[in-house]
Amino acid sequence: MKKILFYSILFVTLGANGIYADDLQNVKSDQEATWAGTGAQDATFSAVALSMLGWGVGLAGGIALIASAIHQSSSSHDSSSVSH
Amino acid sequence: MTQAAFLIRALICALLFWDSLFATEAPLPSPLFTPPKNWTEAPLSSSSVKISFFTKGAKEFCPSVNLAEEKTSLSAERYLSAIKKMYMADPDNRWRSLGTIATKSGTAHLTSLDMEAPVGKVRILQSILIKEGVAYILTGAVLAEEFGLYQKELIESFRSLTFGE
Repeated sequence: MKKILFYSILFVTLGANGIYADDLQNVKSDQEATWAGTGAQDATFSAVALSMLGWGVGLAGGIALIASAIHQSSSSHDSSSVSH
Repeated sequence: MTQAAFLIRALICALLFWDSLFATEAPLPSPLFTPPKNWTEAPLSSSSVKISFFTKGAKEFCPSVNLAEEKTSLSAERYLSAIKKMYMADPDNRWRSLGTIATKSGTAHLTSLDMEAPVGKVRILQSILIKEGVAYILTGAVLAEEFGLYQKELIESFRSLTFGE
């Protein structure tokens, strides 16, 4: 009896693998399609980020220049106030 | 249970799980490509992006090119369909399939994406080659208005994709 049960389970398992293999593959493929493209998206963002480094450095330089000019302007204003 | 019966069952089980027990992943081939002449390698990488190069542009935006990898079991058509859906989710993007491109390692798919950036409209050119369950993606980014200046160099670079050991 045990033997019959064992071989029944074995054959059902083997059979099920064969029968549902295509369906399982389709489900896996659909799931993967949902998440596919992350590499392409990562590549796009990395390329744009790298390309904009120059722009970022320029922007930071511009901000630093303006900040420096404002600082100098306020310093000279302060010193002129003191001289009065 | 006799010893023989036990051995037979053990053998059957071993055969059933042989693949999962002893399956070893073959090492992936190393992709190589030649960047445009005089472009500089950038110390920038991520889980997908393996190597990047850039050059000084006419404006603040530096044209760049990188190589990325993504494991996939999808066909090239389904992969392209997936990335089209992903990019088109942003209504400001304009994605186009430009057909195929012959590389040293086979036929790849060429796509173009126009997207808005703080510096203006940026054009992304991508060459996608799916080989042995991996998508090899070469991506070039240039300002759309400067695209004509770099198009030839980028295409030549994409064509140079090959695989080492």
